[in-house]
Amino acid sequence: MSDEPEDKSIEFLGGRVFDIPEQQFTDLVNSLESKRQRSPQRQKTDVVLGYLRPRLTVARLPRRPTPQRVMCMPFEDLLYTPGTRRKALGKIPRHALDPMWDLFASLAAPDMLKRVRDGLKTAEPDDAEVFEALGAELWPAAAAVFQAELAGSSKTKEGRTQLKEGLGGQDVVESLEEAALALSIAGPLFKLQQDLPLGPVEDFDRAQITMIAGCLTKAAGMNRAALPHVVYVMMGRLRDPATLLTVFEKLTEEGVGDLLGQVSGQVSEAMVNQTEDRLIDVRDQATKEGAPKTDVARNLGRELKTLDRTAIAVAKGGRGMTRRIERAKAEVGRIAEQVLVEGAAAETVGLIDGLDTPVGTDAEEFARMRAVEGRITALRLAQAYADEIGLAPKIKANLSAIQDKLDVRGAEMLKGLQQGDPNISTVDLYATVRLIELTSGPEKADQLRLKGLDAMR
Amino acid sequence: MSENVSDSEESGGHLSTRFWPSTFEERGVVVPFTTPMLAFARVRRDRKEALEVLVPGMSGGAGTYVIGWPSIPEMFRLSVHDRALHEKIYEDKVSTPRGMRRCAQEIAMTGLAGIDAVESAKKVHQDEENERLLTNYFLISATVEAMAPGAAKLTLADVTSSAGKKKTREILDGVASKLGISSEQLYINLELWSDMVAPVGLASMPQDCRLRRLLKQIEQFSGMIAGWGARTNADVDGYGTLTGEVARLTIEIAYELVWSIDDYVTQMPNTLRNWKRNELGLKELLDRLSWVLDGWEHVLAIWNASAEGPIYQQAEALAEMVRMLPLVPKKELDALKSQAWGKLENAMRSHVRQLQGWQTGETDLELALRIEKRRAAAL
Repeated sequence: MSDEPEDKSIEFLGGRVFDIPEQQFTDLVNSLESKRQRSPQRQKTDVVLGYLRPRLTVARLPRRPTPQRVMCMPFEDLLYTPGTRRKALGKIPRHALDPMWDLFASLAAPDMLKRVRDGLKTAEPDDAEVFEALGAELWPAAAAVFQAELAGSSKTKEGRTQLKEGLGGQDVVESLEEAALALSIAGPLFKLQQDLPLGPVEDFDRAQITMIAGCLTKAAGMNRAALPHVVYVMMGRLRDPATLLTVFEKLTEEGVGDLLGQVSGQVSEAMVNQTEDRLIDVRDQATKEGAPKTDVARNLGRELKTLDRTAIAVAKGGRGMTRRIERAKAEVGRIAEQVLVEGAAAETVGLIDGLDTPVGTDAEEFARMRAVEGRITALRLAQAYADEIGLAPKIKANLSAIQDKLDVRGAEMLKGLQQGDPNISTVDLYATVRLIELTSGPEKADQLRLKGLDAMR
Repeated sequence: MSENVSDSEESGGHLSTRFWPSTFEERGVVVPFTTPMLAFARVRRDRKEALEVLVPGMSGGAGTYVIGWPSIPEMFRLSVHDRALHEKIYEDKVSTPRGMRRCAQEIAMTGLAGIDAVESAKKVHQDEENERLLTNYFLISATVEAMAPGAAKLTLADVTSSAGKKKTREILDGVASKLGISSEQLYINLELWSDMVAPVGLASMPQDCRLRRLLKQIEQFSGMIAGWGARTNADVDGYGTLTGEVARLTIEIAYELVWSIDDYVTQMPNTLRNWKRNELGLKELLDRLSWVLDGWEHVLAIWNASAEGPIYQQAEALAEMVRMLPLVPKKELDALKSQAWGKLENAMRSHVRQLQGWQTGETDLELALRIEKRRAAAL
């Protein structure tokens, strides 16, 4: 381990990524993009761009086009950034992009690559027509190279090992398979990506459904094995996976029901697999030191809703799928118990006691009040889904212990106020009222407020 | 009041289907309640000068419920913050944007709506104090420039150091004698003027004061939202276009008011010479401006909270914003503008839909915390 202190500045940047004004954010991305072209800086800039990615996704800033980026365009919706080296079905981790490109660049015809490079020199960052024209040559070539490599290596154990080692891991090999399929239907896939609204959206309208049906038909004529990738693009754009069911119904009305029938099993598997894969990062984020408990409680709640919707979407996939969703829910329960519930009461009571210790600044006072509020709010938010994950009794017990503490504190405060204790201020009274409201609701809290104000008169 | 209904306080509430008010007083002022069911409420005075609250879309429809102010705690499960705010508004009989702002800040300082609200209220208080002082300085500078052209330009140090104060006093004494009023009276008039105009500030100030800043924010928002639908393919209900249009028309009216307020500085000698009459004119313009812009802080706070979020969140935010859009009342518009606003009213009527999860009456902690955050941002 290095003796140098860990540099937290980039992580800090990640936490503030949405605070950067729009123009400065654009300038920052442009500057990183141009640094990225100079290979010695590439790894560093990739790390920084990784931290900016949440906002890049939202803002959809057009990025500087390169031959590698053009190659990846047809499967852009499949890209994701897992916290560890791994790959989910129907997704391609970003860390697999460079080895895939290096493989292609080493085997592709140099004059073809030069044509693409030259064509990009004058292209605007969002010129879809140019990308489509250049891709018409690049995408089939990349698909052919990847398919040939996969076919050649699959014949022997040595071949498989060699490819795995050459690319840097099994996750990259699997990404190569995924990319080869997407690239085999790249034309219609790219067109569909351009025509669909930016995700996540609630649903697709009739015109968009017609476009998807057209894409499925064209893709089926090119490579039926790649059809699930059309659905993966839709999944990438939809907010709620359960909506896929109604989208499938609408597509069936458009006459492509038979094509969907062929891919539904694979799509269900991908949905469940992606859910399981995502939970690895959910656990990692939740257990990170200093992760705000309220954010964890919110994220876990959202995760449970997604699991419920996924369960609806894959219900026809059989009991095996449903059981896997149940197991994922149990994992969410374990994370909630470990991060939000275990020791919550004791910690909160300690924090409440700490409120009486004098502090020097407003900022310190706000921080400790936020800490108590955060602990209670996290429990209350988790209470909303506690039944689903079997934590209702434990959360109730924790909240009861906190309530008892606040009841005692409120009663003592009232007594002190009635006796004219000069050490109790309205700030103390209102802080306790606020905590009681968060724990037990407004009626009980307001009683203390009114009695306290009465005592002060 | 133009509605032919019995007084809400006596009747315990009634449904109004009027969408476009005639006057600002009929429209009412936004009440920064944190209870979700009252998130879009406004307060106004009824015919007997008693307070009543307007709650839009309680049953999911486009109508607005009109409820007597004292009945609110019996009809809704209020947060403690809202109970305190309700009492304070009742005690002070608040029904103007200025009064509501003061009230909201005072209650925010208690911490009953969370720490964000306390921090925000403290910062706003400090900012307003600074803006008041700066406006005073720039107004004195403008007076000196306009009425004592030979005098040296004032610096900020001149109004804080004792030597500088002496110099300023001497120059202003000369101005007062030119105007034929006592120096004392001139100081009082300038003080009154700067206190009154501090929320807008002066055009010559390097930094915008609150209402001018808000106006620019609405302008930016209007420009941005106009292209939002095209960029995202997500404005299927046309909320973005509608909101952008209301913002654009509001800005037009507000800028005319700001320019009229600025004219009093441009016409400095005349303003000071006829101060009594001009004071009333200025007050009326400032009151109108705060009415025209009332509610926009809350509308923008909804957007800002989702501006960097996913597209579906932005679309949801727009649906909420349409509920809150402050329409400029009929009687405040000339015939030409009236036509454009009439079209907007019709569009809003057909656009407003039930907001899922807002009108159930249950206390949703997540939603309440979200509203608290926005209210703090809009202080």
